[in-house]
Amino acid sequence: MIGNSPVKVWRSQKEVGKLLALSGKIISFTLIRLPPLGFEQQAPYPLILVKLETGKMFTGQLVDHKAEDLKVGVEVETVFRRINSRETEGVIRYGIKLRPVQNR
Amino acid sequence: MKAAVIAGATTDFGELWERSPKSLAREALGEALKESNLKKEEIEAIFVGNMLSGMLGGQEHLGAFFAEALDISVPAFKIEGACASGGLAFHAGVNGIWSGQYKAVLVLGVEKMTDFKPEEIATALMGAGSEEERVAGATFPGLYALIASVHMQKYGTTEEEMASVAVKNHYHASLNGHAQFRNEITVDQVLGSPKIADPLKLLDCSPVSDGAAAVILGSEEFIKNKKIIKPVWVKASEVDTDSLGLSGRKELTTLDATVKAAKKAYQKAGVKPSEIDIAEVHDCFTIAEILAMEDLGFYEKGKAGKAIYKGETRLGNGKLVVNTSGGLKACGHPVGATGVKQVVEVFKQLQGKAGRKQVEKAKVGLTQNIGGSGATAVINIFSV
Repeated sequence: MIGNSPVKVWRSQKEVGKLLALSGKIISFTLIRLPPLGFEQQAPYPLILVKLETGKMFTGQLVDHKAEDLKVGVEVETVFRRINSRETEGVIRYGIKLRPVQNR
Repeated sequence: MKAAVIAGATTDFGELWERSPKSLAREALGEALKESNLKKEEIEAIFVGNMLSGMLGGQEHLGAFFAEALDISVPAFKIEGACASGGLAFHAGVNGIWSGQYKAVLVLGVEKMTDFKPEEIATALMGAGSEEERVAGATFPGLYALIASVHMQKYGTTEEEMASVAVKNHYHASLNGHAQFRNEITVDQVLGSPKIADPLKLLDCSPVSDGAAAVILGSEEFIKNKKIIKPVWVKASEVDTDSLGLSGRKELTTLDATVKAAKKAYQKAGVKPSEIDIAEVHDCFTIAEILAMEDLGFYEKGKAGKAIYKGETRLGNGKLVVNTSGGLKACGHPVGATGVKQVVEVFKQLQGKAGRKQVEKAKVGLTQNIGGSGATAVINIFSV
């Protein structure tokens, strides 16, 4: 597979801004123990499904969390974080992750 | 215009390091032709179901690729719809007959996955999800785990009930000579297997597999002229779609594409869920068979897990028997081949040639093939 195209990353960044600083609640969660490429260093990590204040659902990685934050109903907010880098000299991709509001 | 399955075969499913996609395709077609006394020169078009040959193998253009490999120079198409690629290829083949364009077609499902390491496979399969899910570092076990957690919260579905899906399907696979896993397992073994994406454990998940499956479809006229015995008629073949990602869904415990496609299929076939004798459903994860049982109308929402745990859909126990091939879980899941293998299994069951896993007096069969976490659903209904 071919890595992150700088143009594609640039184009998708325009959408990322619209999702910043939104809060929501966890409606489902899991722990990813067998990750895709580019996420090996982070595993195991929590993947959560959130209902945002806008009414829309969002699937994202939970960061800056303690074990007890991984529960249905916990309040989270969107944050801007490094996602992954598939190659040592490739584009470093940034995007939206989620963190518990109380760990702000 | 009527269409029927007149031949069908699969290769072994499993970790077939010594086999190429071409050799798998040749074997599946060869077996199908041998059992039916058809000649490959009679095939007028080829529909190939495959998902990952481009991303993993660097080979696209699979229509011409397999036409050359099989030495049948006819119109040939590759159809892709993630893990529903095989089902979609079958649907396209049926439409080719129903439209009157072709009299006999080959539907070939093929996938080669085990040449690659798990992280590579997880990444390639995420091509079936949404960009949001890829950025989240999601995997398919992870997405179905999110669904399972909600189903457990809402209906009290338990890990033991999910495990019982794998136990049943391993039992069925123990009777299938082509299955990847022919060993029986227990609920405790499933519960004790390593976690992949909580609450899903290794033995809740279908494996990474290689394999191919082939079916030949014929028109009513072709069948009459060739005096083909016991064709298995396609009563309905319906497809529907939903959002690529989970966050676009109206409901998380229902695959809406299954519900919509099944409703159309039952209507077209003039068949009720209670009249289905055998079903091959898409148990990519154990929770997915529970969803399928409910979304196809066999059980009320929240009741399927308990029924499967009691053994109601196990061979020899009830009226409806589910996944006699062993399902994706135990027969194996070479993704593009799965939807075609489901048709081969129903074909053999309805012809009474399913061997030790034969369901007695099976007359009406159904297949349900899913792409992604429910974005594509293909439902076929068959009868003799």
